[in-house]
Amino acid sequence: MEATTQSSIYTYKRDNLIKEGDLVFVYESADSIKQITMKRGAIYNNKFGQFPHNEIIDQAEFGQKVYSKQMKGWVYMLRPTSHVYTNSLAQRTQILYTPDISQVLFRLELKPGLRVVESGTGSGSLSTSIIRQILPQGHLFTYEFNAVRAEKAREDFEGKLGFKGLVTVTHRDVLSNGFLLKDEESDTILVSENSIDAVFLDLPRPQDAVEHAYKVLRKQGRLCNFSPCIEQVQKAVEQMAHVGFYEIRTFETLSRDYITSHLTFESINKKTEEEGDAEVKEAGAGAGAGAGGRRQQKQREKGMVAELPRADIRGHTGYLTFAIKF
Amino acid sequence: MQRVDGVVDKDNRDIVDNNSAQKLTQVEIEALKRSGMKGGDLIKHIVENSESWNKRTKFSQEKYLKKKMQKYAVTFEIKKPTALELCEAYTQTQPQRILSLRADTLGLMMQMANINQESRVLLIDKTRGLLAGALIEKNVKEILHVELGGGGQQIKMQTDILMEYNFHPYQQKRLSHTHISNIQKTFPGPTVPADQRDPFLTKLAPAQKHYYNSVIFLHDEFHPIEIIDAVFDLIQPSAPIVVFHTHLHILSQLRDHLTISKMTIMTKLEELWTREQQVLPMRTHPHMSMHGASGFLFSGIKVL
Repeated sequence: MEATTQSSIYTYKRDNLIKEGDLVFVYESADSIKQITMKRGAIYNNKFGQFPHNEIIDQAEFGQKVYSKQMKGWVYMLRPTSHVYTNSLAQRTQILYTPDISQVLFRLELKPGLRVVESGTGSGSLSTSIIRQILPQGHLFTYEFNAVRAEKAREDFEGKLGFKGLVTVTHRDVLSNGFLLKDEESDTILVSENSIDAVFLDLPRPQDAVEHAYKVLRKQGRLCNFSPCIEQVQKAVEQMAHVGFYEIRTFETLSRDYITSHLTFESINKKTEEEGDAEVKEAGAGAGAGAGGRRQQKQREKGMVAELPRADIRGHTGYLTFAIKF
Repeated sequence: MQRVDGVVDKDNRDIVDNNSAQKLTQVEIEALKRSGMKGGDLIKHIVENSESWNKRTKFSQEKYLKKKMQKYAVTFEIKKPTALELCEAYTQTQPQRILSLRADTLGLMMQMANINQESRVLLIDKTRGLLAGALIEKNVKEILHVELGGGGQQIKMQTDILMEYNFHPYQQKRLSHTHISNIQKTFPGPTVPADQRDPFLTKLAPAQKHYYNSVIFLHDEFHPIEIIDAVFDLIQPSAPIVVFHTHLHILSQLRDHLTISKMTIMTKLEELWTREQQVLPMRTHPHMSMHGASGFLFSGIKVL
């Protein structure tokens, strides 16, 4: 596989130039971010026209605006980050989003060199963030009971993400079979008892995996369980206390997003020409500063900046339970 | 833990809160403590002398015991000082020392700033080393701590919390310091004509330009607009900029400035709402009292 020669997406390059083989996030607008891998001869197409890779490779910088061949619009070429990856990946399952991911990483105290177990793999949103925390010496063992998803995740990790050697994807039902793992080809033990620093569970019946997790965790190793339903949490917590976890704490974390607008008000003493408010639009790709842009600019200068909580938010994602092996 | 479904066979109709249920007086309990009675025995004794004990539900009895345990059988655990533990400890005891930064928000900051072992972080903060320590824990490549104020005199940051991490000196080597005035001299901006620039510092500019791939700002004495503008040339295009503030409006001003000047895209202004849950059979609910203000977080990606 060619992935062996490819560096991981987090390899830092000082010159900031986009190279062949790089994974690039194409920012079209706040709601549309595409992942493409740079390849000579290839062409990226969108509503603004064609973007030949040849004109980007070794010429454009990350963070730079790139125009389409037809000059109908532009996109930004961005360097991958975990947060943007989460918001732009192909969803094969319900995924964990950044607020929850950040809590998992921080409360499990992940750092370079740790060995981590995760199940299920799902779309690989959390897996990618975990790997970023534990590389280069650490390793993620991720288990998925759906064969197609396991294969797709392996393709992502070893292909475009360049995580070969950092992650082992196993197709297995951990509820019945646990986490102990042996490489059949080389007959080497990969996951043995008391050898793992942190375990993350996102499973339909987490209580059935708690004992398996206890087995592979080292003393003082940490467990995290994500469950959307409180009944699952209750069963899992009961089982955690039963098998010997302590400091069992459950959290729910939500993010409230704010819109920033410019407000103008009419006065009872003086009539104003400008009415209403104009939402501050991001410097969106392709949206040229035409007459509309200038009018908006004018309104911005007049109005006052004010915040409005976004109305369509995620009201619930799941409960995160953390525990430490005694 | 035993399942105790549906054991709510009692209620508090006969319990009168007039402090007469306990037959032992505080003086007698103190005397027993001094006599060397162990915590467990003392609590048993207190329970035996409580008139209301038998009127209580099983849940209430459990809670009663827990309260007495906290009071008379004190236990403690020795923990390793980590960013998580330090942040939680300061949030409980002296939140003003870390500018009210909460553990959940600190975690989100690290994720939004894309912190990993390849990070070169431009850190402008007043958390006495809490953030610098959190970054060193993650084994980042480099941290440049930018000092503000002090008229250029005070180059060293306050590091009393950084000391509490017990890092080995070699771990702290990746943390370096500079004063904002040095950056201003190196990158004076287009308004300063070429002949008025410091020739020595201007030579340093190419090495520092677009060097840092994460920016974290957490300060209450300086407006983030002024500071982010001053360090903007040092930030690599496509790098995330993350700013925390306890006051929302400061951040919306910053967002307004950065979006209108087309300096950043993908800006986000958010607030975390984290609730710890009590999970007990038949008694699962969010904690009654909690820290209700997590502060606000701005994040955006620098573009050219």
